[in-house]
Amino acid sequence: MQEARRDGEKSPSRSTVKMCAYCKYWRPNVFYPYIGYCEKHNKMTFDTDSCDNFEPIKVKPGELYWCSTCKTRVTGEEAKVLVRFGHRIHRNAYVDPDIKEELYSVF
Amino acid sequence: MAQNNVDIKFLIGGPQGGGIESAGQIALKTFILKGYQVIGTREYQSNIMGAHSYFTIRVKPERPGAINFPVDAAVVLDAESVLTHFQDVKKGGFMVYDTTTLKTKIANIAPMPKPLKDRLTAFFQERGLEPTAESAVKIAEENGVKTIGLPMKNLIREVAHKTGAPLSRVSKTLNTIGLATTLYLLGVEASWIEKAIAVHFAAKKKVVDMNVEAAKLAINYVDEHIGGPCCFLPEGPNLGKEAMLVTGNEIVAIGKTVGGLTLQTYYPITPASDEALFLEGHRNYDLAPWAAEALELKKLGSVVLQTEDELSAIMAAIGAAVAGARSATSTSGPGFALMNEAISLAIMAEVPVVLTLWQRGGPSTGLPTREGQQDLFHALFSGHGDNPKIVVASGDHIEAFYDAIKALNWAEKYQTPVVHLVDKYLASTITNVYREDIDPLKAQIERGKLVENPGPDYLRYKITEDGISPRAPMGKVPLVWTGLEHTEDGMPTEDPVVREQMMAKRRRKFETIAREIPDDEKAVLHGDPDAKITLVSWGSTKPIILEALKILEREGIKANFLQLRIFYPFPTEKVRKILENADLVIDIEQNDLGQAAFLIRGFTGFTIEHFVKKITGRALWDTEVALAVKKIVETGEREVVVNGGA
Repeated sequence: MQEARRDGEKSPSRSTVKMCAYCKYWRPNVFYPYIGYCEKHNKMTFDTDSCDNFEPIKVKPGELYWCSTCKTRVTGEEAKVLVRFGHRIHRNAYVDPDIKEELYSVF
Repeated sequence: MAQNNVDIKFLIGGPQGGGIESAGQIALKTFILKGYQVIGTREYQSNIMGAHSYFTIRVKPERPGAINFPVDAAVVLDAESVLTHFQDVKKGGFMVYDTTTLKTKIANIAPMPKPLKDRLTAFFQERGLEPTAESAVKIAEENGVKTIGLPMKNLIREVAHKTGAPLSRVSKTLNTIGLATTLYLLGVEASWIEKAIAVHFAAKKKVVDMNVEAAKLAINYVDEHIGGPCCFLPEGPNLGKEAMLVTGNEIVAIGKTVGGLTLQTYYPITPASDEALFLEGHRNYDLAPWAAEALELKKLGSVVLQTEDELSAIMAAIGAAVAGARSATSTSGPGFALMNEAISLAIMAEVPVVLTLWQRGGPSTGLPTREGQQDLFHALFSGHGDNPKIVVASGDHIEAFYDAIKALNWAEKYQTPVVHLVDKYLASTITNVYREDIDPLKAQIERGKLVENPGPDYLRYKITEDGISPRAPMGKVPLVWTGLEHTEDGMPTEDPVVREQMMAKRRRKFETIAREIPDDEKAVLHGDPDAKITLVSWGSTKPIILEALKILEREGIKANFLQLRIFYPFPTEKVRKILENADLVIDIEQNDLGQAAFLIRGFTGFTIEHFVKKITGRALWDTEVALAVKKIVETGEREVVVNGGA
């Protein structure tokens, strides 16, 4: 797995790689990406949490991913490039179901 | 600080959908509970979710008329907000931010518009700084702003630990942490913040408890790491007074309900939809005891119909009106454009219908979620053929309430479309109103010449002296309502004599309207009538210009303000007299053409030579109006374009 980092942060050491932020089951909150939803455990965790079910994200060309650094959807090809610049890539993002209470009607 | 000197301005910025709305509402409720009056205005983008939005709030002992910048404090919950607002806080003020955002580079903020990215990048490069949120914080500090970094991640973790609540719930208190920090540093005691949280999340005890815990934690953090406020705000003059917090959308919906509306139609469009959604939410609700007693009714509400498009919306409203309903529709500029053909029908067929037109930045889709006063011509000249209709523009929430009632009355009394002009600023500005501000008994329901039991000789379009024919609802006698020219019984005709008679009848109707609606309702002169500088404007700029007058007076410039309320029938003589009495007349509008000035020239012959304009789609500030007027007074400049706001 390629190491994904926040802008300016140092490369994580081996012992910290197995954290939620790099796990394929973890979807960061679209707005506040240090919190996210774990599909494996069906609960919210912090990006730096970890567990034994950790599985690294494998970025494949032709698939779509979420870049929490850019807060946007990217292709697998783009994700591979962004990872090299320290961006965090995830399989998907998490949108709080209560978000409708915070949005204005826009048409 | 003395109660009378309280004038607090602050903003809450963050990603749209990221808790900004709740934080803003809680902040407003905090100050209302503490006895102050408030306005809060929302700026948001049309991408629905994620892009930068912000809520600007002003607090005073009396109702604030306007927001302006710089603010005393800002809580900025994401990197885009830090970078958008780091220069919006005054020297000596403070900015609360999330430390996890600091390293974010401008280039990586996807929702930020590219022109802004380019401007900010150039700004930081000129100063030898990296284009990051951290540099923005540094510049704010250099500008004399106290910056307060909150370790949000750790604080959220602590709330989860203390409450035992799952992170899925606790993560929603992030906005509360930022807000509580800001309110506390502004001098609000924790107890008031907790009360406001309890009011805001009234029916959700667990949510209240969790947010209260988050607020306490934030306040403890401030005490331990930053130091609390120097002093606490005194309680305001309206402590304990029951208040309602309403947007412009909501107050118009309330006005329509009180005004006896029975059917509202709409097709979703910003910034109009929230009005219809509010009506939908109150279709058949129990009145409070005092209101039930005053209105002699137990329940109120109207049918709300969402149609497949705007033409259907106006046609459904027309159909309902023909059947005897008190009906209205609601839209904004693009939707109003689609209603044009039906407006002509309503004029020719003499159908009472209210069109609430929530203006936004145009032309075309334009700036869907931003302010604009660009539809004055559109409202006045909508429809084809000779097409007179009543056009009324509301200046603030209270006027909008009463105008909504009057519009329904005028529509039925004069059997004509009434366009109620409001706008996005009013729609999304929240303020407190007290019971006496919106007294339902001050505006009685009038239905005009309504014939409940028409006889066999009934003529729908009977020619009368005042131009108004008695109106009978469908179902009583055979009736023809038509868009074709018609005889008195409604049968289509092209007879030249009848045509002339009917045109004259409809003209007489508008002469009646012009006579019966007093000039004082059509145009209002605020301030000293003998002042030699007259500012002219209309719509939601009213409270902003009234605040600007006070600023100008402090600067030694005495001016008055002519507020145009009704554009048709136009108060020609009154307006001409007022303008001719002034040495300097300045038109202030949020459109590029100076549409009101153009109409004034057309109706009165008076040419306005000086203009203040704002066309950015952002809220007009009292301070920028005052500065622009001062510049015109001092330099004689023809036009000043103001552009404050992110």
